[in-house]
Order: sequence, then structure tokens, then C-alpha cells
Amino acid sequence: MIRSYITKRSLTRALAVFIAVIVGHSYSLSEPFWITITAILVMQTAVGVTLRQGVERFVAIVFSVAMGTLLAIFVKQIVLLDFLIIVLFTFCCYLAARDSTRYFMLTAPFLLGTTFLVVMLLPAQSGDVMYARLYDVSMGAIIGILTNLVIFPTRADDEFRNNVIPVLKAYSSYLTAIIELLFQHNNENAETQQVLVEDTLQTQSAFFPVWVYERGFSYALRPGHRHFLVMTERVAQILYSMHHIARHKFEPEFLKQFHDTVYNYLRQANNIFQALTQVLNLNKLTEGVSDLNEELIALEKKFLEVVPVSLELLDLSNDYVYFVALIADLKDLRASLVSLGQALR
Amino acid sequence: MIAFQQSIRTLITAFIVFFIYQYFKLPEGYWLILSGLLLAQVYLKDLFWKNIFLIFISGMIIALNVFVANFAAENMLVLAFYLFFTTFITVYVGLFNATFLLTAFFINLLGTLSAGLNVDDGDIVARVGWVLLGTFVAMLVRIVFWPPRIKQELKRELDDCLSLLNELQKDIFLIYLNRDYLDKHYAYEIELHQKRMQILAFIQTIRSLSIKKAPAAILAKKCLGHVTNIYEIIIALGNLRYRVKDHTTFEVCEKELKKITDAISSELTDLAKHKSTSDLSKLLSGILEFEEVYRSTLILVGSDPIVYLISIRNLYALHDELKLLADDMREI
Repeated sequence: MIRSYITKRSLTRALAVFIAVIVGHSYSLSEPFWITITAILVMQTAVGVTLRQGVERFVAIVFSVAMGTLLAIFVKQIVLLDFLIIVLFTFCCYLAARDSTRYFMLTAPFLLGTTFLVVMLLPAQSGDVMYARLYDVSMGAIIGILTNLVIFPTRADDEFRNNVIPVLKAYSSYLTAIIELLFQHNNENAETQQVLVEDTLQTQSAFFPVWVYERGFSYALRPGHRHFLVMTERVAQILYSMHHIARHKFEPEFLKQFHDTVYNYLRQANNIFQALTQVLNLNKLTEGVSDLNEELIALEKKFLEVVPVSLELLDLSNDYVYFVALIADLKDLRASLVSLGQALR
Repeated sequence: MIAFQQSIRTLITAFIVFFIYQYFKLPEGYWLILSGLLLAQVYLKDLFWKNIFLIFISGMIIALNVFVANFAAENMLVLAFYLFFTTFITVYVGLFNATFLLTAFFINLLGTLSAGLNVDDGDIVARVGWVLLGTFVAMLVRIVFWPPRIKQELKRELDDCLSLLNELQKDIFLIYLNRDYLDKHYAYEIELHQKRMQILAFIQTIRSLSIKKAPAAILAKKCLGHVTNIYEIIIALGNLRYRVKDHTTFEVCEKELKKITDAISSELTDLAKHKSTSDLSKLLSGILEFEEVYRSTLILVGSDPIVYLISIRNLYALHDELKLLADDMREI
């Protein structure tokens, strides 16, 4: 599914470039590559914010073309001009590198710096050229943004589902590894699964950036999406907390008593993850799924059999407190999974 | 810190390429600047030689693309199809593997530029030559200036990671101290989300250092363990915001929470500056005072007092982990 998204995005951009070359050949007023390059640059957007980011990049390009052309016209000293190019480009790259972790290229400062560099290295001799370039840049922006919106448009619903499914699968594997760490002290698998969750979250974060938390208009943003993604992140936080608890060296005799109840919970929790994945894959659920209530009650009942009821006595043993913390995390996990299920209705 | 070092490398590359360009004043010389400056932006938080290899290969492909695109430009349809295919391939590769995203973009960009500025045979050879020279300059600057050593890289990554962990814990405690989380839920969550993603990126980098074949990698692995634990504990402390339904309850222990977050902040700041003395007495006294408030008040007024007990245990765990990290960081 990710590959399908990548293929569509690649085709869209390639088509935009194709159209831009044809249009540029006949209608360009300055150098034809401005139309093509602008089309490429304005299409560097993330999911769900195609129009907004496209327009932002267009404004950045207009600014850099205008400023670059004017500087090239009015600054006659070559050394000074070179110095300005160096300083401005370096500053833009610094901003881009500072703010971005992985997807360096998608940032407006870097696109601004790159455009500025090209403009300054291909100086114009008159102001008319600046207007001609701005005309071409505008055409390129229209081609790029329209192609992004019309040809294989990013269907936020589809991309949303495609990007959440790997996250849920990673969570399911991570949860299993954490429980194994708890009982068998197999830390290597837990760490491997943690890395997988991190990678998946980073990828998702790049496809669905901060817009999911933003207020204001976004045509692709629905409250359900936002709620679902916030709940999904909450599951990650619960799992990290559980990982910390699982590292604690419990007394084997104490822990053994909860083996069956915890693994029963795990089984049902993984069923829920599977069910969520099935629904996101637009398949019908073939069988019912537990809401983890019975499993939690069984676990708490077992705990009360083993451990003193009074709060004051609980912290006599680290094992008791850590296990209570585990139960609290399992309760939170249940609440989050139920909430995810309800959000999908 | 990485951004600053990258900027310095960019500056040095820029001065070199501009000097060569202005000194020789040969045709198509600006391609030296374009290729040098753009390839200087290639940066992988990974094996040093992987960076060099990537710059080299990218430079070769750019040179080839620039050469072919120039000839394709003689016919509009040929050019349109050629750029269609190169755009498709570069975008696909870049999206498929984020490692190549930037270089794929440069290949596409410079090919398009070359097609738009097509020249005759003599000048195209010069253009390709300048691209190759620009590639060489970018590689040279990367090798000569700040070739990373694992210990230095580890220090740098840890400093930034600890600073971000500090910001994260401050934001979490701010929720308990401000008590307007339920009204401004998304505003808080966006800040936490951004910091979490940045911290994860640093943890990944430290992890990549820990698997290298070098003595310092063992130290990196130890520090990775502590940093990951600290991150998990801070996340666990943050889960209190969901469990306590009435945030006004935090008024009862506001002073103690403030003392705790200030102590954690002080220690993480000292660790980031490598000035830690492992004296965590302020944090310990803050936790003890919080525990006292729990036993005297929260246990009675809290709707689910167990959540505070869990937080206290997490704070003790954080205290221990910070101590261990301080001890290991002395070796850096």
C-alpha cells in the first residue's frame, strides 16, 4: 500500500513535469526551466496539506526569484554579490537542517535557498526579466498544484488508512515482545520491536505532519482522523511505559501467578489490533472481539488474591507497585483500543 | 549542533567553489557552484564513508543526467518524455528510501536545469566537468572538516538528545502546573508530539553509533540504554495527565512538582553540558516531599491515589537512571 502511494506520487510529479515542459516550450516568457522547476518545487508537500503547502512554496519561490533578480540587477560588485549568495544560501540551509529531522527537502527554507541560488547564478539584466520569470513561476505553480490536486489526488482517507495499518501492526508486535520481556527477560526482541515502532512512527510523522493537531481549515482534516491519530500516539506512550515496567526484575514466583491472565489479555489485545487492521483494510469482521473488560477484571481479581489490599502496604514491595503500574497501563491500553474501535465506526 | 556544523561546511564549500569560479571565469563555471553547494547538503547520520560514497555516486549520476538532458532538449517531445522518466524514477527512489530523497531531488533538479539551458557540445563537456569538480569539492570538504569520530558524534547527539528530553519533561510538568490541559488539549499535545519525534530521531542516531565496530560504540550502547530508559520513564510520567480526571488536584502538590521538574531540568542541563556532579539530592528531596504530600493528602483527596504512587516510583527510577547516565557520561 505504501508502494501504491509512492507510485502514484511519482506518476503525478512526472506528469506535472511533462505538462510543464510542453507548456514552457510554447508559453514561457523567460527561461523555460522556471515553469518545470517551480512545478517540481511546489509539489513537495505532505499528505493532507497539498494546497496550503503548495501555495506556501509558491510564495517562497516568488520571493526568492524577485529578491534574487533585483539583487543581481542592482548589486554591481561581483564580490559583494557572491558574498550575499553565500550568506543567504547558507542561512536557508541552516534553518532547514535545524528544523527537519529526516525530510530535509520538504522544508520551505531549503526550497527558498535553492531557488535563490539558481536565480543569482543566472542573473537578469533588467527588471523585465524579473516579471517574465515571475510569470513563468506562476504558471509552473498552477501546473504543479493543479496536478497534485487533480491527477491521482491524495485521498486523505486512503493515505490515512495506509499509514496507520503498519503502525498498528508494529504496536501489536511490540506489545507481545514487552510481555515476553516481562516473563522471559528477552530484552533483545523487545528492543528490536521498539526500533520498528520508532521507524514506523517517524515515517508516519513525515506523511502526517503537525496538521493533525492544528486548528483551522484543512479540507482533508476530519475530527475522526485527528482523534484516531491522537489515540494511536497514546498507545505508543502506553507501550513505552510498559517497556520500562517490563525491565524491572520481578520475583519469578510472584510473576508466575499472573502468567495466564496476562497472556490472555495479550491474546485479546492482539485480536483487537487485528480487528482494527481488518476494518482499516475495508474488510468485514468475521468474528466478535473482546473489549478486554473481562480479562482486566480477571487480572485485577488475581492481583487482589496475591497482594494486600491496603494502599499503605502496597509500596512495601517494588514488585507490587510495578505490577500495579502494569495493570494501570493495561487499563489505559484497553481504553485507547476501545476508543480506536469506536472512532472507526 | 549538526545544523551549525553543516552550515560551516556549506560556507567553506561555498568559498572554495566561488573562488575557483571567479578565478578561472570559464564557461559554464556556475555548475561548479550548483553541484558543490547542493551536494554539500548531503548528510547522513550514519557511517562517515557512506556519506562520501553517496556524494560521489550522486555527483556521477548528476553529471550523466546533465549531459543527457542537454541533448534531449533538442526536441521538445523527447525532452518531455526524458524528464517524465527521470522525474518518476528520482521521486520513486526518494520516497521509497528516505536516505536518497535529497540526492534524488538534486539529480532531478539539475537535469531539468541543464535541459532548460542547453548548450553545444564543447560547453556541455565543460558543464559535466564542473559538476564533477563540484562533487569532488563537496567530498573533500566533508573529509577534511570535522570527519566525525564516534566519541565526538556521541557527545554531540547526547547533548542534543538530553536537551530535548529536558524540554519534554518541562512540557509534561507544565501540564500539571498549569492545569488547563483539558481546555488546551491539542496545543499541549502538538508540543509533546514534536519533541517526541525529535527525541526518537536522536535515539536512532545514538543506536546507529552503538553498533559500529569501535571501542567507543560500547559507551554509546550504555548511554543508549540510559537515554531510552529515561525517555520511557518521562513518557510514563506523562501518562498521569490521562489518569487524573480532575487536574485541580495537582494544586495540592504544586510546590513539590515544581521542585521536581526544576531539579530534573538542572540535572539534564548539567548532563548536556557535561558538568554533572551526580549530586541529585535536590531531585531526591523533591521526590520525598511529593511522597509526603501523597501520604498525607493525595491518598485521601485523589480519586485514584494509586496513580500518584506509580508516579513516585517512576520518579525514583528516573533518579537512579540519571545517576547511572552521569557516571557513564564521565567517560565521554
